[in-house]
Amino acid sequence: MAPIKLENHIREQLQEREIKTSNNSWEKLQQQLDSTSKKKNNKGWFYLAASIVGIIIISSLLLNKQQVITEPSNNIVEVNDKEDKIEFDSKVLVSGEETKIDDTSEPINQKEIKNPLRKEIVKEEKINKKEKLVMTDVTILETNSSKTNLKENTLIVKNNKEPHEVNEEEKFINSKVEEVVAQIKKSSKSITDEEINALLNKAQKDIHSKKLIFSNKVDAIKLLSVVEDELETNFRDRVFEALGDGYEKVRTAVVNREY
Amino acid sequence: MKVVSLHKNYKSLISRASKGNQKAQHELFELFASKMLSVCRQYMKNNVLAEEVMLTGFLKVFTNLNSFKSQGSFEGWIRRIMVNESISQLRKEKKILFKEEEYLENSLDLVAYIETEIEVSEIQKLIDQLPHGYKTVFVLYVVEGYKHSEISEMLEITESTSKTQLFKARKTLQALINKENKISYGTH
Repeated sequence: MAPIKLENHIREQLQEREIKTSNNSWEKLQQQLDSTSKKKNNKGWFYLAASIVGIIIISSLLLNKQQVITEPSNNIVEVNDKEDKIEFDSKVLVSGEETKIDDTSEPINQKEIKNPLRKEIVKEEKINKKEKLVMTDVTILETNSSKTNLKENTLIVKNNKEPHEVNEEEKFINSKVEEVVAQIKKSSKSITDEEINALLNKAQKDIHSKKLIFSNKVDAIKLLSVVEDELETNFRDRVFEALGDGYEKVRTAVVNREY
Repeated sequence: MKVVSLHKNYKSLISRASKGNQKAQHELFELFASKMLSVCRQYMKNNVLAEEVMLTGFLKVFTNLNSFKSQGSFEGWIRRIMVNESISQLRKEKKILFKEEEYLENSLDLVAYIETEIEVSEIQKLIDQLPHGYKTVFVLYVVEGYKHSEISEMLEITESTSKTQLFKARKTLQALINKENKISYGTH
C-alpha cells in the first residue's frame, strides 16, 4: 500500500465525519428559539411604550410652552371700577416712582382676603414728559377660590430693580433732599438763584453717580445723562415740597435755569 | 439535476425558516446538525461541550437567516458560524492563549506519511492531546483550509504566531503518531 499523506488523511476523515446529536437537542434549541422570540416581542412592546411616553412628554412640554406664551396677552385686569377693563400686553409702561409697587410674589392667603376683588394699583399721577419711563414687568396673578366661587385678580407690579437696591437708592435720595433743604433753609434770606442751582446740580450729580454704583453696570446712556447735568423733576419736586415756605423762590430759580 | 433540486429545496427551507416556520427550521437542523456537531467537536474536548456550542451556533443561524445571501454555500455559512462559536467559547474559557513567537522561515515543513489509515476516532484522540492553541490553528489550517492571514484575524494573533503554532502542532502530532511507528517523513 502506498504511503498516505497524514494531513490529507486527517482532513478527509474529519470532513466526512458526522456525530449523532443527543435525542433532545432539537427540543433544547426550540426552547432557546422561543425565549429569544419572546424577548424580541418584549423589546418591541418596550420600544412602542417608550415612544408613546416620549410623544406624550414632548407634546405636553410644547403645550405648556404655548400656554406660557399666550397667557399674558389674554389676561384682563379688573380695576376698582367694575366696568372698566384694562387689557395688558406682556409689558406695561408705568412710572416707577409714582406707582405703588407690590413686590410680593407669594401666594395670597385665602383667609386674609375679605373682599372678593383685591386690586393693588394705588394711584397714577400725571407723568411729566421729561421723566424717564420705567419699564416694568407686570405679572397678573389669578387665583380662583372654589369655595367662594369668586374670581380674584391681583395685579403685581414688579420693578426691575432689586428691593434692596431700591431701598438704598431711596434712602440716599432722601438724605440728599434733606441735605439740600437744610442748606437752603440755613441761608434762605441771602441765597441767590445761582447758589440754589449749584446745590441742586451737585446733589443731582451725586444721585446719578450713586445710581450707577447701585446698578453695578456701566450704562453708556446713564453716563451721558450725567454729563448732560439734567435735573430729574422728581428729585426737584421733592426738594420743593420739603422747602415748603421757600417753594416759590426755588421754583423761580429752577424755571430760570431751564431757559 | 439532483444538486439543482437540493439547492432549490434549501432555498425554500431557508426562506420559510427565516420567517419563523419551525418545521422548516427543524428540517434544516436535521440536515446539518450531525455535520456541525463534528465541526464543533474538532475544537471542544468532548461531545457534550461540542453540542452546547453547536446549539448556540444554530440559534445564531436561525436568528440571522435573513443575513444569509444565497450566492454562497449555505453549509459553508453555517460551518463558519460553528467555527466562530467554538473559538469564542474557547476564548470565554480562556483556553486559547498565544505567546507571540517569531516563525523561523528556514525551518523545513516536514510532510508526514502514514502506511496505514488511521480511524477517525483515533485521529480525534490524537488531536485532543494537543494544547488548545496548537489544536485550533491545526484544525483551522489543515481541516478547514483557512490561510494564516485569515487565522491571524480570527484568533487576533500575528501570522507569524499562527505559523509557529501550526509548526509546533505538526511536530507534536507526528511525535504522538511516531510512538506507534505509523509514520515516515518526506519534504514538500
